[in-house]
Amino acid sequence: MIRVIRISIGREDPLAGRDLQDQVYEIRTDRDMTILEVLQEIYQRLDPTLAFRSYRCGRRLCRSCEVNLDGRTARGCATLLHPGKTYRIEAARQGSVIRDLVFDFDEKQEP
Amino acid sequence: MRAAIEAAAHGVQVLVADKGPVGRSGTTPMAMEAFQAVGFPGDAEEIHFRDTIEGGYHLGDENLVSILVGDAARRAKDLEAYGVRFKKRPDGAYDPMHHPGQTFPRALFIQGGGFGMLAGLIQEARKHPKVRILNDVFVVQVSLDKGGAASGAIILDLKEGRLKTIQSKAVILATGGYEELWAFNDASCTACGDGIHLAYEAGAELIDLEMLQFYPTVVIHPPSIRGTLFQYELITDPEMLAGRLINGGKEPFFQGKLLRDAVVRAIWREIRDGRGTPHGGVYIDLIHSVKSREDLTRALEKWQPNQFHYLRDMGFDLRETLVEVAPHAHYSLGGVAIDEEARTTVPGLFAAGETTGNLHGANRVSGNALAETQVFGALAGASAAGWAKGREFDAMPEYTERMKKIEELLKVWFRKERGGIRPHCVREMLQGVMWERCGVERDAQGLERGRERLEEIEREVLPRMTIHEQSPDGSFGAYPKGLQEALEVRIMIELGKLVLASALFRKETRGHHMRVDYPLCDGEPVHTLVAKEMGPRARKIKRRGSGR
Repeated sequence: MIRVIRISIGREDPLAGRDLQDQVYEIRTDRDMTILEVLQEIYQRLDPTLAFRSYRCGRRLCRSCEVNLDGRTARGCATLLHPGKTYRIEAARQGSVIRDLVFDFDEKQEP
Repeated sequence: MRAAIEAAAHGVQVLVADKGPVGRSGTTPMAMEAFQAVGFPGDAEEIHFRDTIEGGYHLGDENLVSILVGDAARRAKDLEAYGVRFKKRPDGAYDPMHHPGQTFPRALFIQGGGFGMLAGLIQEARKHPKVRILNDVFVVQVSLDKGGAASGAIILDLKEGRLKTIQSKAVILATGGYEELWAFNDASCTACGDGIHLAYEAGAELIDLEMLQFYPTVVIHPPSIRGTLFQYELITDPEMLAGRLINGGKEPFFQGKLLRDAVVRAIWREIRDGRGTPHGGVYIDLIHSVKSREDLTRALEKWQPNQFHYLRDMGFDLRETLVEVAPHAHYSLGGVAIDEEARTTVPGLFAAGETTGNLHGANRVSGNALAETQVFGALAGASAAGWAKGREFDAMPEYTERMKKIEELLKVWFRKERGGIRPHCVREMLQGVMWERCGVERDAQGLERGRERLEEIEREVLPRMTIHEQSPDGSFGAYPKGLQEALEVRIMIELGKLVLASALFRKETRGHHMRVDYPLCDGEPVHTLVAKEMGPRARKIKRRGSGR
């Protein structure tokens, strides 16, 4: 059965002076999708201006696709979103955002 | 990263430019755990040499293979000194895996695989005051000075969306391969052949581009885990998982420890002849393993922990579920031609790792890729440092002009009007053509058709390519994702044409290059060479002792 994954994305563009603002997208699907799949779907079908890192290491190690999902850090490649539910996503590291969900790994280097 | 450490150790300033965040982008983080080096009792470099040459169907350059087997164990020790952890026995000796193509167990097991290895290298590089790391930059062009030597690069800084120049006395390309040209691949989305194209544009010779290694067992369904590699070497090994590969009719179809190209062929036959699974693959079957559930769990935890946990958490527990897998583009055997000092044919331009093309030959034995990154990375770093020491910076007088030209070129893609084709759509077209016409099985007719199709895409689709994001201040804006994709697809089309031309030129079946119209592999092996304004031509294999 086709249902909707509703997702609100916190978008910002510090370089252009645009502050954090939410934008809501809806994906119609009959299956669970990873965050990364949903973002790809939005980027390719709905909004070419959305910025996120597409890279996927394939074994849940690299954290390149990490986002903040409903207040908790989540890996985009390994977290499933379910049809019929609503979510909110923003960059995993607020304060070092390059644009939308892409943040700068240079700052706050992990040990 | 190994090249950077070595060059800095030789006393020169190094700048590492990465298309993404270093350690979290590119090819190495996706690599499996195996690092091939001699150490097992009874084994010898000479045996490693023979395994590599024979495993590559005699197409690898012997002078390079000789360096690989001679330096691999030393480079593994370097990694340990950088904090990279290998699986060891209680007595402190390495605990290697015994992969197909290895006469003795020789696949040293790196904890955390390529990702773990790279983390150690970055940690080491960061200790060095002479190494600076630049994240999120797309290298658009390698600059040449008046004498034709590499003298820096023009880059697109993705954080700011601006073109910048880098001055340097030498350039090392280590950007991985070009697997992303094929619709089904298990590589990173960054593997578009950037370094190979940069070398080509600078005038360097490229070699054996038709040689693409396919990996037999990569998840094909469902989409959420598509592209995840599970090591076939472990599945059927009675010592490891004691499982099997079965076709859509649930029948096993091959036995024994086979090289990658042989397993690919066996799986491909099942799929091609209509015995595949619903999504066009075969099944990994551990359900019928003779091992108990506890033993299976232990083996999975020991040899393939990351994949096992990842797939299980995504709803696919290999102990209970059949998983659909199929051959995918895995490793670029071809690439930039190098010599025994990791030099390309352009002065001051060096290359290492998967970016290069004359080491492995027509197939790569498991574990030789990570070893290659370390052996040839160190070699390139030392060579480049030696070259740079005797040189001055280029005055770069006309750089602003050159940058302006590139900027104008890139701005053509930004259009306000509706319509046009987005870069990712062009990419999908190209990937479809390459998979269909230059995939596991190839023939002259298909390759010609593929070439025509790519020329058509270049002529009719590329001029309509459109990017929608742009900042009001005239820069490309922060993180111009569309622009990066457009730059990549331009590279991919050009490389795709070169791959097809090379595949047409090689009229034989050898390793992973399977020509159904030339099924035999019986002639003297020769390389396929291409360069700018030079169509494919043959080059002899280099023998041992021709250098170093």
